[in-house]
Parts: sequence; C-alpha cells; structure tokens
Amino acid sequence: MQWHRCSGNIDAVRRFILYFFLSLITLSPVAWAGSITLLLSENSGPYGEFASTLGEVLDSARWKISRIGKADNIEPSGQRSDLVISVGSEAFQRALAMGGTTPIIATLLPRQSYEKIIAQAGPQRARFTAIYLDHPPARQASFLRHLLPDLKRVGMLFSSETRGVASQYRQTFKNAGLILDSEDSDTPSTLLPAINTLLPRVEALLAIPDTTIYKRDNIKPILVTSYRHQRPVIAFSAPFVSAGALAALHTTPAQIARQTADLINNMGTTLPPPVPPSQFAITINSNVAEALGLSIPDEATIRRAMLAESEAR
Amino acid sequence: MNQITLRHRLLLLTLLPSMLIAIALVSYFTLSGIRALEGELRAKGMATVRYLAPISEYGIIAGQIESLHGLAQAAVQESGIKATIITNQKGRAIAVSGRVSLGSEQLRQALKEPMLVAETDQWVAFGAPVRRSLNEMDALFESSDNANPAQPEVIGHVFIEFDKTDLANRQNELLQRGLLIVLVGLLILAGLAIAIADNLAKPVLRLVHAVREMSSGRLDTRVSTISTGEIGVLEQGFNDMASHIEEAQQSLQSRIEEATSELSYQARHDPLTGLLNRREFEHQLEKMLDNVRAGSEECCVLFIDLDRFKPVNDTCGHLAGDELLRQISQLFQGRLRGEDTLARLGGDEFGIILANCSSQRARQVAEDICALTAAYRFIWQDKVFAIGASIGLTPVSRRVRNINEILAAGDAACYNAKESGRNQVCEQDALNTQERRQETNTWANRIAAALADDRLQIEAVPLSPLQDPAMNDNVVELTARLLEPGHPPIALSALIDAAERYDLAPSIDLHFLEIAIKALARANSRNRRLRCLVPLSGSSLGRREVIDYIARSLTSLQITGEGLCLIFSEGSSSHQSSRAIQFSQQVQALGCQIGLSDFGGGLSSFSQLRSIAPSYVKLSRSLTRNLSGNRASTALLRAIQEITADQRIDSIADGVDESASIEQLRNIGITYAQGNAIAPCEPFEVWLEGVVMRPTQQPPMESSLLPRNPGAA
Repeated sequence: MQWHRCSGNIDAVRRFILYFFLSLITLSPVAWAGSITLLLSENSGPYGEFASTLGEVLDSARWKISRIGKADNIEPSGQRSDLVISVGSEAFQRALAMGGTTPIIATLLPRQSYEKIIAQAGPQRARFTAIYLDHPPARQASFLRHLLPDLKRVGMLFSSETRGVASQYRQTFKNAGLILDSEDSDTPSTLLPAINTLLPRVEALLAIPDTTIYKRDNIKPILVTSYRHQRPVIAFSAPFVSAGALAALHTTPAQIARQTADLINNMGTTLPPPVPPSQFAITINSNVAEALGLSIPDEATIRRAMLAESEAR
Repeated sequence: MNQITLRHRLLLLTLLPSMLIAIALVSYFTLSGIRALEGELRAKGMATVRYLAPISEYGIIAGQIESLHGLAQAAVQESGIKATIITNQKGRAIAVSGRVSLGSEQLRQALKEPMLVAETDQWVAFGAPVRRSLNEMDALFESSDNANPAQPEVIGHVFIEFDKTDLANRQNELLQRGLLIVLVGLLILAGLAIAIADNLAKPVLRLVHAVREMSSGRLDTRVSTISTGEIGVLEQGFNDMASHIEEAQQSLQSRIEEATSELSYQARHDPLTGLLNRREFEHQLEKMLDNVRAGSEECCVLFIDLDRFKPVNDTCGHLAGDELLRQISQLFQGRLRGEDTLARLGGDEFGIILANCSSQRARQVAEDICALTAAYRFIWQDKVFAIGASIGLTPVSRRVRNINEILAAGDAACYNAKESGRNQVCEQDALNTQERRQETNTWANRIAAALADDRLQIEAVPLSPLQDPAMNDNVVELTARLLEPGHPPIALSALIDAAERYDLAPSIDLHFLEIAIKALARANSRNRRLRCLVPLSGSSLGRREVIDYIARSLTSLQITGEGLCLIFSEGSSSHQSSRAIQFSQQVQALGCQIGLSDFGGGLSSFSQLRSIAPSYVKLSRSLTRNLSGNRASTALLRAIQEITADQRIDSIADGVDESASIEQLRNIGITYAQGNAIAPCEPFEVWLEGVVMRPTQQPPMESSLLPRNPGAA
C-alpha cells in the first residue's frame, strides 16, 4: 500500500538516477528509455510473432510496451508514449492517422507501401522511420549467385510501382556479373504476355515486392507460366516459395523485431533513415528444384557463403 | 375352388407371396438402381465440371485456346460426354468440342457454383464457373487497398453435356437384369415350392390312395410310415385303424363262417336228436348210391317207424315225445357202426344207411333194433311206455336208378311191417315200388277219400260169451278195413297211426258211432238185443262233439244208449286220466257204457277200474297169448278176472285164434272171447242182417257158443 502511494515519486527518482548513471557511463549519446506503443495490423500471425519477439528482446525494465491490436481503440495514453512502433502497412497508416508528435518506427512493410502511405498521408508533425522488408539489390545479387552459380541472365518485371528501382538493380547486377533483363506490366492483361516475352530471354525470374504484379490472384499464372518455360522464380517470401517459387530471400518477423530492438536501444535523439533488413533468411523449395532439374546447395550453405561475402567487403 | 388339389393349394400358398415379394424387391432395387444411375450421372457431371473448371483456369487466363481445345476434346473422350464448352468472362465460347445443344443464352449465364444448367430427355448439361485461383501470399506484401477481396474473380465458365442414351441403355440393362433375376428367382422358387408341395402332398396322396383302396374293400392296405411329424402320426393312425378294421372284419368273417357252418349244420341235422335230417339223409343216400354204382359193396337202408309213439306225445306232451326220440336215437346209434348213417326223417320215422352191408347182416341189425326197441321202456314221471319199431329194409344194388326207388321201397316195407303187426322187419326190394311211395305221401288224402267214398268197410267182430251161454245178447265189436281198388284191404290197426297223425281218427270214430247207433236203432225196432263195442281213438277221448253227436243221434232215433259201449285203450285213458274220467261220466250219463281195451298192459290198469268204472275190459293180448305155457299170465288173468268179476265188469279176450284157448279162458272165468276161433270177421251189415235181424228166432247161445261156419252165415 505504501509502495503504491509512493510509486509516482519512486519512478521519477528511479528514472532520474538511471539517466544520470547512463549519462555518466556513456557520456554520448545519452541512453534513452520510456514507454512504447506497439501498433499491430493484426494480433496474430507475423505481427504477433513480431510483438512477442520484441517483448522478449527489449529490456522490460527500461521499456513499457502497450500493445494495441487492430480492433482496439487507440488510447489517449498511447499518444503520450515515448515511441510508436507500427507493425504492418495498415498499422503504419493508423499510426500516421493518430497525428501527434511521437516518433514512429514502421516495421514489416515493403518499401513501396511505406512510400505510398507517406505520400497519401501528407505532411506530418511526427518523425518517422522504417525497417523495410525489401532486401537491397546487392544482397539479392549475392543470393542469386550463390543459389544458381551458373546464372547469367536474370529477368525482372517492373510496374509503375517499382520502375524507380530498376536502374539500381541493373547496375548492381551488372557489378555482380549478372545481366538484368526486364519487362513492364501495369495491368493483369499485360502480365502474362510480358512474362511470356521475358522468360525465353532469361534464365530465371526474380520477383520483388510489387502489389501490382505479385498479388494473390496472379501468383499461380506467373508460376505456371514460368514452369512452362522451365524458368525458376526467385521470390521474396516463404509463402511464395510454398506456392511454387524455387527459393526466396526474406526476413522473418523475429529478425525484424530484433533489428527494431537494436534500433531502439541504439537510437539517439534523432531517428535514423529507413533501412533494409539487416538479417535475412533463405527458403528453398526442393520439389521445384527437382522438377526443374536444378541442383542447388542447401539453405545453410548459401547463408554462410553470403554472410562470409558481406563480411569480406 | 373345390377342384384345386392340396398340391395346387400348397403351390399357390408358397409361390404367390414369394412371387409378390420378389417382384416388389426387384422392382424396388431396379428403380433405386435407375435412380442411382441418374444420381451417378449427376455426380459425375458435377465432378467433371468441378475438375474441369480449375484446369481451364490457366488456359483462359493465358488465352491458350489450343490447350483449352485439347482439354475440351479430352473431356469429350470421356464416356457419356457429348459436348464440352469453355466460355470466357463474357460468355463467349472459346473452346468447343462435340455437338453442342446448349443455346448461347445458357452459355452466357453467370453461375455461382457448379450446377445442372439444363436437362432434356436426350441430354443433360452441367456448368461451373472458372475462378481465378488465389494463392496465399505473405500478407505483409499485400497492398492495403485491395486486400481480402470477398470472392475470387470469375474468369469464364465450363459446360459439359452428357448424352442420356447411355444412361437409358444402362437403365434398360438394369431393368432387364432385374427381370431376369425375378425370372430365375421365380423359377428356383417354383422348383422349391413344387418340391415342398410334393414333399407335403405325396404322403397325403398316399393316404388318400390307401383310403380309397380301403373303401374299395382291400383291407390289407397299409401306407409306409416314412413321414415324420403330423403326417407320420396320420400314417401310423391309418395303419392302426386299418389293422383294427381288418381284425374286426376277420373276426366278423369267422363269426359269419361259424354261423354259416352252424346254419349248414342245422340245415343238415335234426335239432332235436342231433341226427342227420331227411334232406341230408337223402343226400347221403345219393352219395351212397353213387358209390354202389361205382362198384363199392352192397349197402342197405332201414326205414324205421316207431310204434305207439303218438300216445306218449299225446298224454305226456311234446317234451316227453322229444325225450323219447332222443333216447331212441341214442339206442339206435349204440347198435350201429361208425360208418353207418342214422337220420331222423321226420316225426317218429328214422332212416339208417348201412354202408358195406349185405341184406342178411342188415336184417340182423334190423331185428336187433326191433328187439332193443321192444325191450326198451320209456319212463316219464310216473308213467312207463312200451314202444316198438316197424322196420322196412331195402337193399341197394347197382340196378337202383335213383334214391326215390329206395325211399319208396323202404316206406312200403315199413308199412308192411306195421301192417303185419308192428315191431318187426319187412324187406322190400328197391325195384317197382315207386307208386307205393307216392301214395304214402298222401295218407291223409287216402283216408279222407275213403271216408267220403264210403270205402271204409265197417266189419263186425262178434263176441261170444264163455260163462253164461244163456245170455241172448248179440255182442259185437266194430272194426274197419280200408278198401282201395287194386290194393289189398288195409286193417284199421295199420291205419290208425296215420289217421291219428293227420287228425282223421275222430272222423273214423264218428263213422263207427253212426253205424253202431243206426244198427242199435234197427235192432231196437225189431226188439232184438244188440250190444255194439265201438273202439274210439285217443284223440276222440274227451271231445265234446263226440258226446254231443251220441246224445243227438240217440235222441233223434229215440233209443237209449244202453247197447252202446265205447272202448278206448287203457294207455290213452291212463295218460289222459282226467279227461278220460270226465268223458266216461258224460258217456255213462247218456246211458252208454265204457270199455277199456288193452287192459293189463300197463301198470295203472287197476286204478282205472275205479275211476272210469268200465262195463267191459278187453284184455291185453300179451296176457292172452300163449296161455298154455305161461303160468304167470294165467295167474295175472285170474287176478284180473277176480277183480273185474267182483266189480261186475265183463272181461273180453280178443285174438283167440285157437279153439284150445277157449276152454282155458272159460276156466279162468273170462266173460267173452273173440277171434278167428270164435267167429271170423265179416262186414258189419252182413253180420247185422244175418245174425241180429234174421227173422227166424234162434237161441243166440248156439251162435255164440259154437264156432260158426263162416259159410253158414
């Protein structure tokens, strides 16, 4: 009882002492701590995984995390929290819609979605940054080379959404010794003709997150068509691999959660710019490899090789 | 319904319900099979379109018309599929295979799920929407705008038409198979039913057959007891019943045979004596005759007529007569050999066939029988009867033509024996005696005719007084003789048995009385003294009409009954003593007198002297015969004489044929004598005219004392 009555004061004293000590030990930058509002697009699935991993990784003594699910109303206390972490595209939209000045870290969303939401939301008072799901082209190139060492020509499909990164990919691949060939498709009707014209020219199709091209009702025709052309599809998510892609370079929600925790722990007074995922996972569909007559190394081997290559740089 | 046999009923009973059930079952299964076939077709159609739709998806999306055509053609290859149509989102057919029956309107309709779109008698069409398939993508990469579309996009349709003729064929096949099963099942069932019906009906039919056999008289009919259960019980029961009936029938049969043999015995035997009867005797006679003709030894036949049998019957009743006949038959039987045949021919007549017997030996046997019979005494209560046997002997030779000759000869011989004084044997050859036999058969007619024609000659046997010659009464006894043309006269003694048997004796008696009373009236008119002894038969004794007749005649002729003396035998009076006494009193009341004949022959003679109070006794011939050498008879005669004399009864000795006897009789004291030694018999009229009515008065003593010369009369 006594403890409760005095809890406000004790907290304030404790925070003061903590700040003081941290300032003394690190000098600069000053360690930061407080309350975090975790805004989830969904309560379960990858979002739940993200939330639970984050809860485990973050020091609960320093951070008080309050979860807000999809159906939950955003409490006024959330606005008074020190940091908002949005998990998923929809959560980021809601976080922006809250207004306020609390900094936002957007996680578990593709880069295109992040940019599109910001564009739609208009000017914001709050600062925000993101950890994308998209891997950088260099990592993609590295993955391709370790996955299919004989690969030379890589095909990609671009829509208006992704056309902006095409030159970056082309340059990066060229540096890695790969030739990128591409076709554009902005409507479903042009998709299959575009694939049909692209695939004969390339040895594999690399798919990157693009909501215009790679969506639920398109995946099957794309995979079937590529199979008909006997070309493997390298995708960007585990479900895509399950649906019939050869392999995918992706990042798990847990990995993103750890990266987010690192970001929070290392965060200074300013928010860093949006970053791609620092960690990655590889998923291979050996059935597809068998069906296409491809002999590929296992996931661990590729990962080790890729990590070794990145360290070497 | 009545013509339906048990077998038919059983067949009907077993077949009808099972047939109905079988038909119902098979129709049910056939119909449900047909329905199942239809359901199968529907399911197949639905499944086909359901599979075809996703397969067509990529072709439609990719616009690969050739692959869709290939798909459609592959589908049409499936059995029963008549046409396949794949349309795009706008309802335009982009791939068609087979003969399409669906209209373009139907092809354009938007379907939400696989379904039956059209059906006619010939075909049925199914359709399904082709949807864009959705792959689960990482939600993280979904754009927030078009996330979670409610329903996958419909990008086209597939239609399949099934030909129903195949279904109809299969349904027909099913129907035919069902009918075949019904037919085969019914055939098997019919076989089984027939077997069951036979199994059940056959024992019953066997029983029916056995019952028919039984009712047609074959009592040894049995059924084989091979069945079990109730039928077995029936069969066993039938057999038991049949055995009982057969046993009953056999016992009945044996009883009938017994009765028949009894009847046959009775038909051949005399019930009284147990001897053969006349018919069987004649039958045996015929057999014997055949044997003789065939060459066996000579045989003889005896015909026996009992003497003095009738008095026994009359006085003691038929019981006594029957007993006498039994005893006599045993007496005869005792004298005969086993091979001889004794028969009772009727009444008191017997016949004996002596097989393999010469006439000499036969005569010996006959005489033995005579002697036995004469010596035999029949005792009934307190009465003793002596009887005799008159026997006719007829030898049978191979010349005899038939048994009638034997019978006639035997009868004649018997008659002769009887006429010759009874208890003797007469022999008569079987030849030339047929006529006599026939006459014997009509004794009654002969006597009746003689009475009617007045051929019964009344004769007078005069009596001569032995003690008092001064007695001038003319005493005469009446007797009779049957005169027949061509025949010797027959004495009354021979006649009387037959007359009594045929109840003619009273007529003869009345005839005697008429003659006697008329003679008395005539003598009275001339003042001549006459006494007539009239013999009466036993049957007239006690007859009211005899009394009445005497009274009437005496009254009408205005004479007293003083001269009329009625004589009956001591035997008949002793056997009917009460009637005899009453009769005597009535007769004596009329003034007439009574005489007893054959006096001394029986034991009751003396008691009758007092009860009947006769005026005369006619001594038995057994007493008067051989007077000279028989002291016992003489002493008896003396005793009788003394007793009768004491009671003023005149005694008469008859049959005195020797003049030497006259003196002895006189010495003994006998009152009258008659016989050939006294005076011969002569016709009564002649005697009456000559002795009584003659005009010249002559002392009667002369005529009675001295033996008269018949020629003088």
